[in-house]
Amino acid sequence: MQKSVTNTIGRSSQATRSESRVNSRTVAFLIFAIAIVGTIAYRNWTISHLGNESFATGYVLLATCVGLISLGIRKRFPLTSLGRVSVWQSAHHYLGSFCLVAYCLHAGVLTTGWFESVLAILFWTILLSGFLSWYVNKKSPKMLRTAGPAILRSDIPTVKSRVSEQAYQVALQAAGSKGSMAIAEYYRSDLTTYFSKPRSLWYRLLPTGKKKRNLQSGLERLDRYLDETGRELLTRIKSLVLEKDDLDFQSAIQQRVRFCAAFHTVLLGAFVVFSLMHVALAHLYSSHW
Amino acid sequence: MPATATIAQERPVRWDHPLDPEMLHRDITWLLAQPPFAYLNPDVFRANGSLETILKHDARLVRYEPGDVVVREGDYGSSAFIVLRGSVRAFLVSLWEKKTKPAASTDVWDTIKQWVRNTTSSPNPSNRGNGNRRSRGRDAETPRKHIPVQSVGIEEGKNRIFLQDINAVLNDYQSESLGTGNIFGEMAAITRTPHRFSVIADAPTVVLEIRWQGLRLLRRDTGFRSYLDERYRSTGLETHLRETPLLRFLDDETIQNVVEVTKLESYGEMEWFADFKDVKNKQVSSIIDSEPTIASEGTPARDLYLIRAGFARVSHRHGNGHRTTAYLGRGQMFGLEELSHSFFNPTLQPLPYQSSLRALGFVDFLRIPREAALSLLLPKVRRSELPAIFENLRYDAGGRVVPDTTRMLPETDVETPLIEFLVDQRIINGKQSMLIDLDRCTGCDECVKACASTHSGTPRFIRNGPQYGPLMFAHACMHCVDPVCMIGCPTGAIHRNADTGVISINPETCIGCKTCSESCPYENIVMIQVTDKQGRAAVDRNTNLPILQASKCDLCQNHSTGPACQNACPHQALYRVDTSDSATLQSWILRRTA
Repeated sequence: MQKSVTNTIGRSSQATRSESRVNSRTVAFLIFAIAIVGTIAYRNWTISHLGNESFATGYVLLATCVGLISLGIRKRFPLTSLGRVSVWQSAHHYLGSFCLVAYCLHAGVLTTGWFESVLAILFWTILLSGFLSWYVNKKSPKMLRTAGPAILRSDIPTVKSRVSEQAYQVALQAAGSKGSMAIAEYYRSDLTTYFSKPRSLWYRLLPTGKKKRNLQSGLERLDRYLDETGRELLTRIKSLVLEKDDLDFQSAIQQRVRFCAAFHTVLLGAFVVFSLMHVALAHLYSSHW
Repeated sequence: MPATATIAQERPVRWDHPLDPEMLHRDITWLLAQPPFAYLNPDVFRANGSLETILKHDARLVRYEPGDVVVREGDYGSSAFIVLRGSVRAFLVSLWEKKTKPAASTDVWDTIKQWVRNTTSSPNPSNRGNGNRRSRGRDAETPRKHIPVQSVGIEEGKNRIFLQDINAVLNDYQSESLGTGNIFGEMAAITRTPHRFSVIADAPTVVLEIRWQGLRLLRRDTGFRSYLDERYRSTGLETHLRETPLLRFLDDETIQNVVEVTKLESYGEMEWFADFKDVKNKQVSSIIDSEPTIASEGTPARDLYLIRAGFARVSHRHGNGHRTTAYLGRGQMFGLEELSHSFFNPTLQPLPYQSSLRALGFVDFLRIPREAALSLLLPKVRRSELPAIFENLRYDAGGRVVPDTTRMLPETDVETPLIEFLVDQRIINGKQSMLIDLDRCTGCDECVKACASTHSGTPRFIRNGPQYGPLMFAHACMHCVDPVCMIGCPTGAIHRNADTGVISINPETCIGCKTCSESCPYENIVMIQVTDKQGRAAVDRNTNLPILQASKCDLCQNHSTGPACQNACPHQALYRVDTSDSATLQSWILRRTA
């Protein structure tokens, strides 16, 4: 009885949910397409009425930019009843894609003039960082899950120092016996830096398991020089190397997410400021308005 | 202002905030001469001052006019009531339709639709219970009972809720009169559960309200405790049977017959959290072995169990341990499959229990004997609502293990390891568990920032906690079915909102005793230092030690937008899920995978 009721609840909500998501996406794409067609039509209408097409598309682009920065404003007011941030984020993605079309209609792919070039460089960088940020946000959760249980970013330094201390103790223990001396030597030559120093900037941008694999294979090669106690210490230090790598990996991924978001936000702010200046200059030197 | 600046204050103490500051000394003297207080042994209260002190701080006299609502069904109880003068009516049937909870919306269009609905409809509180237009239309065609209309008025400076049409309600609904000396509401207060019935004054009445902190102290008197326990065991039966959906077609006579043979039993300790903290880190098999067994697999199915409060684990032996297949909460039954098998096949030998039932912490249940279940209950239950006949048995009629079984009942569709995880971690206690989907969470901390900005810079949860695969149950208050954190609070600062069920802490009355923080089995309550508006930390004027206060998630109940953390998540990774109900959880999991 319980089982059948549960099944019914589960299946019906699953169906409704999938249907709802399909509908949402379809409607969103429809609006997106209508917005593009509408903008092109508006531009053509302006041209046919001898208006200034640059102003027409420019204001569409400016309005889009204002819409794009509204996500950041919404985030600063968590208790406003304006819907969930996730909804705003989805809208931000659609607006960002529309912005590309609006920009190409307004300025074309290539631009001339130093001020416009700065604006163009800013635009393309923002666009790329936006796509990068989206990609990173999509991929990071799954990457984080491969690196052991989730640890708060603020806790990572504490856990790292505990792991380093444990590794140091293992090395000290290994140094006291002939049958495990090789581990102490390896620790001094290869692992001291690994456990005590932060990882390279390159690793933080694109974390890989290369270093971990190198160290692991180096540790495995020590096996022939070790007695039973040494092998036990080897197993422990191997697990500490893995643990440290997981911590570095989690730290790098979380930093990357934050960096992408911050970089994108700062550039977007700068772009809006430059755009407003551009609007002012355009009006100043235009004969149309 | 330096961050280390402090300000000396008087440390708040237990008796700082009495329930009624206007309680007079002559009232207390009069009360002490009235039953049941006149019969209590004053010596047992010496450790807490005196009986007089308890009444002065934890009780109040409340006057009601005819039609005033004393207790409303469904509201969470935190006080017991004793009728001192006049009389009240306890309604044994529901006066109002059950409140329905709107489904949570998560995507763009749901939100837009909800926003449009919110802006176009004007809610009118006076329409409560009348339903929407369509249902009103149907009501017009079908003659129905008079639906009581609640109104809010002000009397002696206090808000009161009253029924405008008390006489019509008394005519239409079955009720029981409670006169001078009667006590009610104590079961809800003791078990931290909602009131099962409404109580309305039908004459000018004076009632003594004792908040449960005081009630707990009064229970130290052996006679008073026995009296309460006896009432608890004798009066809850009928109400509980009546509100069980499966038994909705039972007539009054059958219910009375069932009540006569049914036993109300309890297993485990109400303060189960202390033991749980000890055994939490032990081996799972030893944890299960330490749980009190209510019914053992392979033994004759002699009773039908109906859970009244708390949780129970359904498991069966598997290899060298036990496999948990389900957890049962309030209103769920155990043994129904085995008894249904006998009901449908009266000529076959009865089956033994196919699984074991164990108490998880404290569990309170009704035990209905097999004969009564087969002759009185099951014939009145719709056949379509009874479980299907067993296809694969684990134990045959003789109680022997049947080899090579492939499928067993009862099992929920939630995967077994997840069930075991939820039960072992006692996450099944959560009504609003914070669940983070690690397949979506990037660790951006937008949820933590939103929580902090909503609560004066201090977040009320930790974005970390027990993990099961991609699901993380964060350290945020789960607003439990059984909030054990409330047990020891001496001032009632931690309390449950009667309407919403949200557990929150009143900073005005919290004395920083750490009882709730230490009682919470999930480490979801933390102690923080009290600061003034300038950010200066408060310290005790006498000892110079910091003054602390308990802090926990309040589900942003003072804000119409709902939990800020959930709203702020840009990746739809944070949810609030009712983990006490496996059907809700399964539904959520299916939505997630879809």
